[in-house]
Amino acid sequence: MRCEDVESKLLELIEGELPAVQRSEVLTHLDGCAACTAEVSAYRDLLALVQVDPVPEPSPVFWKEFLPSLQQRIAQQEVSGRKPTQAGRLTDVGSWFAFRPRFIAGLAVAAASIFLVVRLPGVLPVRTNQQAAPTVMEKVAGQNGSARNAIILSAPNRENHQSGERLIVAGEVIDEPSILIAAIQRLGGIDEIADRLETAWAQRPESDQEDSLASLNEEERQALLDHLSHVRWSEI
Amino acid sequence: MREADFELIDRFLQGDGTAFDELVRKRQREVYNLAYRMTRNAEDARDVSQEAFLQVYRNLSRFDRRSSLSTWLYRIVVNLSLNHLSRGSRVQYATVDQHPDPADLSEGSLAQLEEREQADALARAIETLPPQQRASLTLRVHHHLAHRDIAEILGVSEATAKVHYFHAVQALRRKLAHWREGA
Repeated sequence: MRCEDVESKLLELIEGELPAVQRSEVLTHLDGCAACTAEVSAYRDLLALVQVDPVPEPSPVFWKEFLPSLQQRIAQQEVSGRKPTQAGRLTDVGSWFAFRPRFIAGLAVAAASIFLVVRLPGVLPVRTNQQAAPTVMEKVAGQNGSARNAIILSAPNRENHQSGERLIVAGEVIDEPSILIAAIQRLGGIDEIADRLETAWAQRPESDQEDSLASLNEEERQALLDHLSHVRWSEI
Repeated sequence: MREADFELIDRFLQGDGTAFDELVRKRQREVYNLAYRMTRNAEDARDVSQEAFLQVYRNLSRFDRRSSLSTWLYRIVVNLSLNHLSRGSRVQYATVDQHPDPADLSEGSLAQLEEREQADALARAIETLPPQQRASLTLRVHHHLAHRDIAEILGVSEATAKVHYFHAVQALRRKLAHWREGA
């Protein structure tokens, strides 16, 4: 056999896939060919390298939360009766939020704020210009200790508060529901919301507070609030 | 393993809720590892793993047991990973900046650095493989499956599964040839 003929059979030889006759011919060739023997050795080294190609170990919290998060999603689906459209979205919401408990806490505050502004105008307390509005800031360290996956919620506008009417959400001044709706109309599904938030914080983890909370429509907000009602707050 | 899996499934189908939890605990690492090796991204692997077990939960009553639970589970993970990859994944690599300056290293450290760079090069090379080749490679090398089982998971003929695997190894061999030559 020539080297060119042998070369195409080396992997099959290593894999034990060569028929007996061909195997014998290849082995005979290898006995007298340093180049092809080196090629076999190169393949073996490569496969050994691939074998030890590492999978980074997730954090202990990841494994601690893996099953509870899954159970939560299963329970949600069973409760919702697997509606074909919204249920699918809920699954995606659960998937994205399940590992971000601090993020959920922050978002819960924001969702509640939006609800108050849109549904119950006038209920927020009046603030003067001098009163610093509270800010909720949560940063969630990523898997490698980085500050990815974080959220900063901007609270009521400090400069010009009218009775429960001005609120900054994701950098948008919410004067009236139509502004919120306009913001909502620029968004697609839950996936896009999640991606926007994550991208914003990946790019600017230390950025200003008026950043990236995306608005939710009525259906999404209700779905999210339903989802949040299952969160075990003691874990946050 | 196969019988133990089927026993868990039987318990689940008889209403024992802990059986599914056991199944997840037993399989979660291999599922995550496969998902990671397919997507090369921790967050994608996490999403795929969760979704895979959800699908198992929904469809366990329809599992016909003609294949092993592993084969069925791997098929779900691979299909989800392929879908994920088709939507664009979030692959991240270590950058050169994260490595120490070679001028600051001792001889032993240099060897470590070279190993690290080799591992990075391998990771990048694997990332460039077409998804089906990547699946064949990891199912063969890391999960030690026969080509026949890999074919079943990928929904292709055994011959095609072998070709995917051989092409993957040969492609890596070409991409990493300079490491061998430099050795």
